[in-house]
Amino acid sequence: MEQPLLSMEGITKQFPGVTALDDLSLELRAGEVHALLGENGAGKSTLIKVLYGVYRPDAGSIRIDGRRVHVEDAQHATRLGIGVVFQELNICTHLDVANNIFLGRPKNTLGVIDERWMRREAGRILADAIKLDIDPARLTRHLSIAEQQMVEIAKVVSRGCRIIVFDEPTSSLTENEIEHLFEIILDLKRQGVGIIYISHRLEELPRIADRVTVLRDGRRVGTMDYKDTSSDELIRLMVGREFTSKYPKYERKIGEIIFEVKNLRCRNKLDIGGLTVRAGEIVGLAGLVGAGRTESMRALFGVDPADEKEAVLFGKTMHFRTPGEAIDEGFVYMTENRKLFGLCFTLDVESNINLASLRQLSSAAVMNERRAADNAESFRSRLAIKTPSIRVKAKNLSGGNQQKVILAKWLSRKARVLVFDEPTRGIDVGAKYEIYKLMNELSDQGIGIIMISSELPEILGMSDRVVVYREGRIAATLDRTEADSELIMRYATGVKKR
Amino acid sequence: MQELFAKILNNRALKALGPFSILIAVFVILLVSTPTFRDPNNILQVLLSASVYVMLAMGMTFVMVGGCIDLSMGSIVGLSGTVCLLVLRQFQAPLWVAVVAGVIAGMICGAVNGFMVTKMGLISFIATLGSMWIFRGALQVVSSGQTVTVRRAIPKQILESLQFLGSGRVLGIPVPVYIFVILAVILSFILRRTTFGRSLYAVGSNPEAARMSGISNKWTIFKSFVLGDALAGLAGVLLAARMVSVQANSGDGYEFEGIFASVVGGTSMAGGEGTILGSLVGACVIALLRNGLNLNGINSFWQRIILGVIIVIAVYVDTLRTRRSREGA
Repeated sequence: MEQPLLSMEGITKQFPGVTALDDLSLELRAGEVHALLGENGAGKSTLIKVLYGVYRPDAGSIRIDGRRVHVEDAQHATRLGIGVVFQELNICTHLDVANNIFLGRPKNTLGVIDERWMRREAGRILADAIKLDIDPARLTRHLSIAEQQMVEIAKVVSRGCRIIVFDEPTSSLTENEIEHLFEIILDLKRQGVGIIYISHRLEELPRIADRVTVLRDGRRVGTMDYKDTSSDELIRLMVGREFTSKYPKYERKIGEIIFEVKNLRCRNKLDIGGLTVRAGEIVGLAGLVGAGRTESMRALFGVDPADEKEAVLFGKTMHFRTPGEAIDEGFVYMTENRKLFGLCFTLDVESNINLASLRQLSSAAVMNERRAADNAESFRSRLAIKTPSIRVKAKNLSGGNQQKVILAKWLSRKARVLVFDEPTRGIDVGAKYEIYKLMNELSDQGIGIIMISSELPEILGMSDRVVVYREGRIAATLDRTEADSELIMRYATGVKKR
Repeated sequence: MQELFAKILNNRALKALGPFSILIAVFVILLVSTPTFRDPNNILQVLLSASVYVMLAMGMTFVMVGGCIDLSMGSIVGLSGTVCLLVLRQFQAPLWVAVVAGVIAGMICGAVNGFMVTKMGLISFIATLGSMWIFRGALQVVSSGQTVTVRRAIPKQILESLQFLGSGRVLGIPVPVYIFVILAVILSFILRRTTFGRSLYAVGSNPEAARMSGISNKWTIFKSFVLGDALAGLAGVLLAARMVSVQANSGDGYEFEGIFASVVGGTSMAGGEGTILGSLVGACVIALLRNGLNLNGINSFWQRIILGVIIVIAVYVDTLRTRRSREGA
């Protein structure tokens, strides 16, 4: 058998209180796309960080071309030919494209930077490796997320890396952009680069994956050729149990209209009217990225300004000026971006759960610590939040559990209309199922739910009605029975005829 | 077992022990190396000089937990002390009126800082860099650049009570020490157990998340400046009471004592982390170091170098500690 490009053997990494990686082995051949699957907290990110020199393993060895290496840090990893395109992009947004590509190794003569050379060279790299026409002199903050990601990939590729890790590269890309990304990956593969591909989206794998390794609880549960397996089998391996359905079956009891957006305007970007939610109903908001779904909900919630805003909640006309006013009335928006808007990472679980209920848990501005702790504990058990204690900092929890903490924060305030913005983005299959079950329980209590999602199966699996956005307007409102992915995409893209 | 370990790592008391270990180390070294240090009177003197730093450090902690910084505190120390003594001298006012006036002067400065940061949207570093000069200038305007003294200008009885406030002793312990201990308890309660304190941690930790949770970030930050600078004002009043006079450059550079003490005490420069107890200990460390160097006859130029180095080391050790616990995340 030919020698593998990279082999990681018996990697073990312990953190206080948890064994993140347990005697884990992984082998990567030159010119293959090796998909790495696993629930959140299964150890994928930790493994990559060990490979990239961020963490030192407690045991185990890493070999490149059969030679044992000890990766000291990221720079050393780069010299060894290891490159990582992280989910959270490492772009310096105030620098231009060329400077980002040559970050850390600018072309210079005695310290004087040669901008012209860098721009020319960056343009060549972008055209050759990325096949994308981006002006190397543009500031990266003016680029779209997808373009920023391409710049990041160009940076890694230009360093001549032979092992490239893509960590959830498609989570914020549109279908066309994903297609482009896959072409780049296949191109790299043809050049003999070994690629480790991490993703939660199983439906992407048929297009690129050669082999698959599934991790669970820091251990490897299996490595196999992709063609010999199926999505069902992979899911079963990931969660360790059979899945009958990705979406829990549920009969909803739908009541009267409790919330209606009469009019929401913001310059020429938003013009929404006639969006209704009934008690116990889940309304799915579908649409392309940038269709204004998140923007409209943020404006309603009082986070962003709007030119005109009129909504009716339980027969009362509302113009929320601040999130505080909206929360007081029971209208709650759960953010899509946990890191930026959702959690206070340096604070403990209890503080985060009670963050929106400080007034309710205090008298004369003095917190009732007992009640605060009781509230957090009750949600910890009710939502099955996995944490050793409510005093653990939020940053130490896995993505799914962080999402539950945020949910607990809003449930503490007896929300009547809940907006879930991409509630399952970046969380694993098992945790997704739990979130869906919770949404069903909430609707059972008569809470109206608006769910923004870019995953059509999720929209179709959960919604009673589907509202399709296009270019800041509502393009269609579809009933559960008439909605299918094709029809939704038709309205979302504006392609009329069938 | 693992759960227990996680619990211990997240224990607040243990985290506060970080600065305590530095305090104890410095204390023991001085106890062994410097005979004159052992004199009980000297140790009381250290506590007295620490009292001003403690006030500043506690005030700075509030501002820093909210994710801001206040460079104008040194100027506020001078300005408030001046206001306090001028009120005594010009109006022959009772002592409590003068003390309140000094503290209110600090609060007004805090309101100015808070206004610039929240309403005008300036970065606190820049805003307070500006107000540092504004308040120092204001001090020099009201004092005409002269040293303000109340000796022989106010009734003997009031002068005595002023000196009692600044350096008098009850049961052998200086009065300012009682004041800072009582205040530390109250302020610790405010930071830990009130909606304001909780909101402040949240705003410092993640302003966007706090805002989306219905917290008024601006109002919270504003209050932290008013409270923080009220404490700087009180520090100025206590300093003035001890000296019975205020010079035009009084308090100059004290903001750094406040920042150093907070950081040594575990307050994060990034906001969202920090405790009153930690800052109190940090302030005591600085006072001890100053005293120890003085007793050993080290001149003030060298003192600066040594203090600077020690502070860098202390913060470095703390960084290593938090980095390790962060990696353990």
